[in-house]
Amino acid sequence: MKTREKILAAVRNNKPVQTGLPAINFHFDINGNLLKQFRNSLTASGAESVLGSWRQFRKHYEDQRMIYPSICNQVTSLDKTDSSVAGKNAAELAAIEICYLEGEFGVAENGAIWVSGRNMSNRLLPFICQHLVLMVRVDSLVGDMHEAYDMITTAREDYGGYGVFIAGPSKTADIEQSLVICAHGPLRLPVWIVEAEKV
Amino acid sequence: MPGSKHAIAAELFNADEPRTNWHDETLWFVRQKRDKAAHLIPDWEALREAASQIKNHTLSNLDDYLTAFEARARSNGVTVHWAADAAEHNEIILGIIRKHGIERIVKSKSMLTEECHLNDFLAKQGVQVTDTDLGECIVQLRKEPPSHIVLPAIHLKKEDVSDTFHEHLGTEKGNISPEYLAAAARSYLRNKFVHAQLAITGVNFAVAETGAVVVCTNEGNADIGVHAADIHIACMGIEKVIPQTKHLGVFLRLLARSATGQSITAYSSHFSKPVKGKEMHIVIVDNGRSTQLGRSDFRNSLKCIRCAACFNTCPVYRRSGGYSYHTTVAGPIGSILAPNLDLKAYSDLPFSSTLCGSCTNVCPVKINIHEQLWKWRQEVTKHGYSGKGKTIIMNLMAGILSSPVLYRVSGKLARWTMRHLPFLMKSKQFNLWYKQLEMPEAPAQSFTEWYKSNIK
Repeated sequence: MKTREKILAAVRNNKPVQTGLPAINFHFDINGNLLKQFRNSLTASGAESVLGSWRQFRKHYEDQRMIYPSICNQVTSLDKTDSSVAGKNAAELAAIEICYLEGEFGVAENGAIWVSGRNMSNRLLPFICQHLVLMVRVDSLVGDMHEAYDMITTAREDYGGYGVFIAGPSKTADIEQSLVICAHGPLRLPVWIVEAEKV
Repeated sequence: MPGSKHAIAAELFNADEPRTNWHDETLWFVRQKRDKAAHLIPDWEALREAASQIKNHTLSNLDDYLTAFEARARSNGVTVHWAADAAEHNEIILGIIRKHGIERIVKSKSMLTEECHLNDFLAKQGVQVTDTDLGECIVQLRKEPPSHIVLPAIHLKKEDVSDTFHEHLGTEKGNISPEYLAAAARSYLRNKFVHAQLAITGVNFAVAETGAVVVCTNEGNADIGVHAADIHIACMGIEKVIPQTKHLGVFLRLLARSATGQSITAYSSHFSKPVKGKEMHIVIVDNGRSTQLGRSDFRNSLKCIRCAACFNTCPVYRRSGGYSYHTTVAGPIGSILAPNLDLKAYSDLPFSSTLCGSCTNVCPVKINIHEQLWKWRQEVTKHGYSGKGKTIIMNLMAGILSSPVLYRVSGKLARWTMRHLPFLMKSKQFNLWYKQLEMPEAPAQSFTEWYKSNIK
C-alpha cells in the first residue's frame, strides 16, 4: 500500500468520535476609535506611522524619488508601477533602496497590514528592499483578525497565491532576549495611513 | 525519578545555580509577557475554547480534511508528498534536491525537520542547509540542537553568541552588543538568502478550504527564503490542518500572545500558489501521529500549535533546560508526545514534572497536559519501565498505608529517627529529598495521638 493510503487508513481507523465546529463570533474592542487603536498597535510593533492626505503622500513619494535613484513603486494610483521587477532575481532586487507597496487593509487589533501578491510584481519586494513604505487607506481599516479574514475570504481571488500580514519591522529577541529591530528585511518601515481618496 | 535520564541531566544543569536562576527568570519573563497580552483580551478563555473545539473537530474528521487539503493544494499547482516516517520525509526532500542539482539551501524554523533530523541526514549526503532563524543559526554554528521550540537559543547568553560569531563569522572578539551581533548575522544570512536555490519551511497551519499553508515568523526569514529561491518545500505534520480560512482568525489571535506576548508575529505568511516558473512542494508527515490519534487518553496532544507557553511556565523546564529532555520537542508537551514514539527511551519524561498543572492552564488549545503526564506514568509503570527501585518502594508504601498498625509504627519510627538520628535524614545518599530541601522539625505527636489525647 502506498504511504498516502497507509496514513489515511491509519487516521480513519484511529480518529475519535465526531464533534462539531464552534461558532466564531468574537470581536476585539477598539475603544471606539479604529484609527487610534491601529496607530497604537503599530507603535507597539515597532513601526513608525504617518497620517496624511493623499496629496501629502504623493509629495513624500516625489521627494524620495529625487533622493533615491533606485526606487520601486507598486502603488498603482501613485505612479506607474515597475513591473520589470517580476523577472529580476534576488541579487538584482537587493539593490532597490526604497519600495512603495499598498496594503489592502490594516488591522487595528495588532497593527498588521495585509499585503497581497496581487499588489506587487515580485513577492520578494517587501523583504529585500532597504526601505519599505507601506501605504494603507484609512477607510480600509478593520477591527480584528476575524474581520480581516472576512475581507480575505470575500475577496475570492485567492489573493494572487501569496499574502502576508506585516505587523511592524522584522525583529528578533534571539540574543539573550534583547529585542533587535530589523533582523532581516527593510531597515525602515514607515506606514503611511492615507486619509482622503486620490484627488 | 532519581537516576532517570532527565534527573541526571537536570542535576548537571543545576550545578551552576546562578545560571539556572538566570534561565528560570528569563523564561518566566516570557510567561509574564504572555499573561499581559492574554489579560488584555476579555474573550481569551472563549477563544481558547473555540480553538480547542476546532482542533477536536478537525481530528475527528482528519482523513477528510487531509484529502480536501491535498486536492486544493494540487489544484493550486502544488506537489503534495506523503511521508510515513522521518526517513521517508528525509528521502523525499533529498529526492527533490538531487533532481534539481540543488546546492544552496536555506531553512526557516521547522520543529518537524528537527524531529526528522533532516540537517544531519542531508549533511551525510554531502548537502548543507543553512538555518536562517537567528536562534537556529546560532545553535547550528555551535553544532547544538535548539533547546526551545520558539526561542532556540534561550539557553545562551550574549557572551556565548559573541564567542560563536567571533569563531564562525569573524566578528570582534568580546563584542556582545546584540545590535552588532544581529547585524553580523543579517549580512551573513542575507548572502545565503540571495543565492538560495531551495527554501525549506515549516507549517503553522494548513488550510483545508484553500490548500494554503501559513507560516508565522518575526524575522521574515521564511518569506525571504521562499521568494528568493526557485523551489519551496513546506513540511507539516498531519495534525497541522485546520478546516477553513476563518479559523485562522482564532489561531493567529492566540498563537503569538501565547508564545511571546506579542499580539501577532511581524510576518504571517500565506502561501497557496507558486509563482509561474517556480515550484512549491508540501510534505505531509505521519511519524507516529496517527498512532497517537488512536490513543484516547493522549490524542488531545495532537491539538498542539507549538507555542511553547507550557515550556515557559513549567518550573521543571525553567530549572532544567531543554536539553535535559533529550528529545526534539522538550518541556511538558514534549513529555506527552515523545513516549508515543518510544515508551522505553522516554519513560523518564512523564515523571519529570510536579504535576502542578500550570501547563494545562496556559495551553491555548486546552490540552490537558498534566493529566496526560499522569496517565503516561501509568503506561510506563504497566510496561515495567519505571525502575525496580520505585516498584519496591511503592509496594512497600502500599503495604504500610493499608495497615493501620504498620502505619502507626512506621510513623513513630520515622519521628524517632528524625529526632535522634538526624544524620541519617541529612544524608543526601539515604534521603534524596534532602538534596534540595530542608527537612521539617519532627512533630512531637502524630495527629492520631494528638486527637486521642485532646478530644474526648
